[in-house]
Amino acid sequence: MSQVFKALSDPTRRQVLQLLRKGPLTAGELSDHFDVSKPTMSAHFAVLKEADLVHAEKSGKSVIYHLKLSVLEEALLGFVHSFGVGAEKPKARKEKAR
Amino acid sequence: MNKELVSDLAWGVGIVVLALASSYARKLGYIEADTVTRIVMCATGLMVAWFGNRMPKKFVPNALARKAARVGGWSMALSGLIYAALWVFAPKQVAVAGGSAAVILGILVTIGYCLSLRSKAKTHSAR
Repeated sequence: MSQVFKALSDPTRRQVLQLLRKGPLTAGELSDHFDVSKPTMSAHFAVLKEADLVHAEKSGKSVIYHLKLSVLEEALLGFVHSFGVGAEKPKARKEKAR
Repeated sequence: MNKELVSDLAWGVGIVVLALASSYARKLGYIEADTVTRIVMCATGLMVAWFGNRMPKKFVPNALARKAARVGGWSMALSGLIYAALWVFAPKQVAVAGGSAAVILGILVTIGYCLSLRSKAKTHSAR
């Protein structure tokens, strides 16, 4: 459980989980939403995987992340998110023109 | 042995042991028969809530199946908690009716959501 709290304590990781609520995303698609380096994002993904909050699936060259939250963890995420525990929200990259 | 299987067995054995221990306590005169029923039913409700809580953790490869597991998990966890709470606090008649209604409602919500997902998937594939 301490790994879950550690994972949820970071706003970037929380935002990753919020993005995954809409559906599975590749590591690249997730990274596009944040203004941080790829290694930093990989470290965040590793923490989420270690806490068993996401499931990583290899598909060709990319890795697809799926949400894997229990009801309690989901409630905890909602609770922490609504109170904005931790550092301020990470800078999101501007939406790319499609 | 599989970790999931161990927790499933632990719940089963735990409830049987709890029922036997409660019955023994009643025989010794420490608790009433009604309390034995309430203890066992509360444990049953908590078991439903626990399995509901774990449901979304069971990884399923299909995105729609995963959505169903999440909604099913929430409805079963809440149903189980309501069931357990009613068996602890409510009068027995209310606990029987309300608890059963909560679990049935939880199952109906899951089935209803699965059916709506299926009809959505059919509409998408028909396009």
